[in-house]
Amino acid sequence: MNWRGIFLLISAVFFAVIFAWKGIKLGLDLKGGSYFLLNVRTDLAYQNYVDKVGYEILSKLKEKYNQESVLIQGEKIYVGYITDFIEFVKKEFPSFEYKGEEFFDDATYAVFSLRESDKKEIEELSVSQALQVISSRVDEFGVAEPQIFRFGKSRIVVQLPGVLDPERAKKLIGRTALLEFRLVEDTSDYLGGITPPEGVYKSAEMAGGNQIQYFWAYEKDLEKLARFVETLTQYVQGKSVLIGKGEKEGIFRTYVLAPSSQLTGAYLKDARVRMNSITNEPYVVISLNSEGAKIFEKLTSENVGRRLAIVLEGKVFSAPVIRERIAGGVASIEGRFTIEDARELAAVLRAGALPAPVEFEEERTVGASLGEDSIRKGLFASLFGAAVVTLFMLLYYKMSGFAAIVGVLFTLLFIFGMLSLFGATLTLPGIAAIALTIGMTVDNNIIIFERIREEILKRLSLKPSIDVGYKLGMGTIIDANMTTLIAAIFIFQFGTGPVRGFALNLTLGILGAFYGSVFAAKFIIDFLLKRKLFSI
Amino acid sequence: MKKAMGEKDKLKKKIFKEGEKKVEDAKRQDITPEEKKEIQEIARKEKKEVQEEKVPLEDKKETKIITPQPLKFFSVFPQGKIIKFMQARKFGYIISSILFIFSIFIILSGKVPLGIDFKGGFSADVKITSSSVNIEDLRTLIPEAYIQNLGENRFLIKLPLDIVERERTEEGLKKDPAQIISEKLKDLGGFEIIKVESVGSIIGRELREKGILAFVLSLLGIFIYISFRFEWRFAIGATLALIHDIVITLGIISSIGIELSIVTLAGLLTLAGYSVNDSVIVADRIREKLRFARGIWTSETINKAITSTLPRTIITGLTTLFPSVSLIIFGGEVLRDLGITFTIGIIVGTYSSVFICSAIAYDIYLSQHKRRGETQKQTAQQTTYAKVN
Repeated sequence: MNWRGIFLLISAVFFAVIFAWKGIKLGLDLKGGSYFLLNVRTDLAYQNYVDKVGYEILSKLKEKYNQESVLIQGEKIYVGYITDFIEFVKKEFPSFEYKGEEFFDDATYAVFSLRESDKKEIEELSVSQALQVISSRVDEFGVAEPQIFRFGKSRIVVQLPGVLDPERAKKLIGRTALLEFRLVEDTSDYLGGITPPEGVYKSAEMAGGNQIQYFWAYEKDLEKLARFVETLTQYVQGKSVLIGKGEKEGIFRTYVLAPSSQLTGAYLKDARVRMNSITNEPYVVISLNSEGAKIFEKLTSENVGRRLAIVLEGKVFSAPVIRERIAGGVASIEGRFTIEDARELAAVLRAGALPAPVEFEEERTVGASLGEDSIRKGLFASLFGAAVVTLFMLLYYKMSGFAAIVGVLFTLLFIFGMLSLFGATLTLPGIAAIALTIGMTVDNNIIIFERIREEILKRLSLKPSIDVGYKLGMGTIIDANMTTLIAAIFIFQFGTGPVRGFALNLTLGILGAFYGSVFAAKFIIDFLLKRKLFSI
Repeated sequence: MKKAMGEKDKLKKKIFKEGEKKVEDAKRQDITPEEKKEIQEIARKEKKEVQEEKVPLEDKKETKIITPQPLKFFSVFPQGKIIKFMQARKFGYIISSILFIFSIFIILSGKVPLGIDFKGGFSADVKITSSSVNIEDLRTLIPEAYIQNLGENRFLIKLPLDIVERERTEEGLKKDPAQIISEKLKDLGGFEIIKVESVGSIIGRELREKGILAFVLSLLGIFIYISFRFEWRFAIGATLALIHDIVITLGIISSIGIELSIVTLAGLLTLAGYSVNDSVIVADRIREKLRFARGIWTSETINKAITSTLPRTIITGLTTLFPSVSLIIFGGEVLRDLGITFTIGIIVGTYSSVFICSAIAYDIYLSQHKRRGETQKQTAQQTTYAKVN
C-alpha cells in the first residue's frame, strides 16, 4: 500500500459515506413539480405609496385649511402653491422632496416627489415582504421542501416539488389578498348625471338618508362595466369607484368609496372558514388584533348609519350599514364561495397581503409521471452508454482498459459524493453530463495509453514507457480539460435550474475524471504491473 | 497568470528532457519500416544487456517487471506510417466551406428554430383523462393555439408569444396563459399535466442576451487560454476550428428541426470545450514535434503529429459517441435533442481537429514565409535536415 492507495481508500470511503448519509436531491424535472419565476411589481408598490401619501396630504390639508387642492399625477404630488401648504408638506412628509413649481390646469402647483433613497427602500421592502408572504402561503399549501428565494432585484423564484395542480398553487401565490375596509361615500350623488353605455344600467338606492345612483350590469357584461368604470374617475373628485357583487345573484354593481382604506388586513389576527347554517354556504370570519380592533371600534362609532365596504383585491364583497359601534374586531366576508375557495381565502388572509402585485414571468412544470419516465430513461441511456464504453475498453486495451473502467467508477463516486456534499440537485441534463463524463474520463486514460503505446513502439521496454506516458500525457490532459472547464463555468453563469445542474455535473465530471484516471486508474495499473498482469 | 504559465512550460520542458535522456531512440522522428526492424533488433540485443546490467543495481522485484513481456498490442491504426493529411487539406477546406456556408445561410436567414426559452411563449403537454378527445375538438376550443397530437390522448398545446402578452387582466397585469388554457380544458373534464413551459417576453429576451453573452465569453475564454498555452497560429487555428464546429453543428441540427433551447445551447457550449480539447491535443503534439524539428514547420512534421495522435482522437471520439448515441436511442425527448447535438458535434469536431485546425495554422505559417520569399530555401533546408537525421 503506497501513499496513492491510502489516499484513494480514504477519499473513496469519504465520498461513499457522504453519498449514503446525505443522498442526492433530485431536481424538479426528475421528481415532478413546478418552478415559477415571479416579478414583484415594485413600480406599483411605489405608486401605491405615493397615492396613499397623496390622499393623506389631501385629507390633512382639508382638515386644517378646508381646501382640496391636491393632485396626484403618477409619481408626483401637486399641492396648491401656497406657502403654508408647502411648509406643511415639507414638515410633515420629509420623505418627499420639493421639486419646484409647475403650471397645471389653470393653476400653479408646488410639485413634490419621493426622494430616490426612500423610493429604493420602498421597492426593496416590497420585495422582501412579498418573499415572506409567499413563503408563509406556501407553508399553508403544505408542500414538502419548497424552495423560495430572491433572484435579482425584484424577482422571486418559487420551486414546489411534487405539486400536481400548478394552477391552484399559482392562484395561492399570485393573489395580492389585500383586504381593506373602506367607507362608502353616500353623502352626495356623484354618478347622478352620467348616462351609461349599452348593457350597463342605472338604478337608485337609499343610503345614509340620501338617494344616490349607481350602475350595474349582468355578469356577461362585466367587462363593459369595468371599462366604463375606468372613465368615471373624473366625476368623483378623488374618490374611487369599485365594482362588487350586487344583492341579486349574477349582477355586478358600482360603489363610490373613500379614496383610501380606513383599515387593512395588516391588523388581521386570524381567518377561519364557517358555514352559514341557513344558506349552507361557507363564509370567512376574520378577527383583528387588539390594535385593529381599536381602530375598527373607533371607525364604527364615528360612522354609524354609513355603509362600510369590505374590499378584497379591489373588489367589493359586501357593504353593510354600520348600525352601532362594534367592539371586539370580528367581521365576516361572504361571497357565495365554494368551500375550497373559502379555505383558500382564509389561508391567504392569514399569510397576509402582498405589498404589490406579482406577475408570473416563467413557469416550468413537470408532471410526476414524466419525471419518473425521464429518470428511468436517462439512467438507462447512461448505463447502456457506459456498458458499451466498458466493453470497448476491455476489448481494445485489455487489462489497462479494466484500469480505466475502475477509474470511471471512482469518477462517478467522486461526482455523487460531491453532489451530496454541496447539497446540489441532480437534473435531467445533469444525467446527460454524467453520461458524457464517462467518455471524458476514459479520454484521459486513452491519452496516456496511446502515449505508452508510442513509447513501447519506440523502445520496447515497459515500465519506463508507462512512466513517460504518464508524465507527458498529464500536461496534455490538463490543457485539454481546461477548455471544457472554461465552457462549463460560463454555462453555469448563464443558466438556471436544470442547465446549472448540467454545468455543475460537467465541472465535477472534469475534476472527477482527473481523480479517477490519474489516481485510481494509475493505482490499478501499478498493481497490475506488480502482479505481472499488465497488458495494453 | 502569464508567469505561472511560463513555469508550467519550463516544467514540461524538463519532462521532455528527461524523456530525451531516457529515450535515446526517440530522437529519431522518421523511422522507415526497414529502419524500424534494425532498431528492434538492436533493442532486443540491448535489452538483454540492460537486464544484465540492472540486476545488481536494482531491487529484485523491479527486475521482474522488466523481464521480457509480450509487448504486442492490438491496434487498428497503421504503425510507423505517416498519413499525408496536409496534402489533402484542400479537400478539407472545400468540404468545410460548403458545410459552413450552408450553416451560415441557415442561421442568418432565421431558420434556426428557437425554443420558447429564447422566443418566449407557452407550451403545455397535457393528457386528457376523462374522455377521448380528438384534435379538432381542441382546435375549436382553443382556436388561437397550435395543437399537436402526441398519441395516447396526449396533446401538445402551444401559444405564440403575442397572444400570451396580449391577454391582460383589468389591473393591467399579465394574465397567465396556463390559467387560460386550464380554464378551457376544465370544460372537457379531467386532464393531467405532463409538462408546462411558459416564458414571458422579458425573460425570453434576457435568456437570449445571456445565452449570447455566455457563448461569446466562453469562446473568448477558450481563445485566451490557448493563446497563453500555445503559439498564436494554433490559437487562431483552434478558434476557427471551434467556430467552424459550432456553426456547422447548429446549422445541421437546425435543418433537421431541433429547437435551440437552453439545454441545446448548453450542449453546444460543451461541444465548444470538447472541440478545442481535440485541437489542443493535436497542437500539443505538433508543438512537441516542432521542438525536435528546431521550430521549422514542414507538412511532414504536422502529418507526423496528427498521425501519432490519430488513435487517441478517433478512440476518444468513439467513447464519447457511445453515450451520446445511447442518449438518442434511450434518453427520451429532452435528452434525445442533447444526444443528437453531441453526436453531430463530436463527428464535426473530430473531423476539424484532424483536417482544419492544424491546416489553418500551417497555412498561416506558409503565407508568412512566402511573403518573405523564404519558403523554397526553408524546404531545401528541411530536406537536408531530414536526410541528415
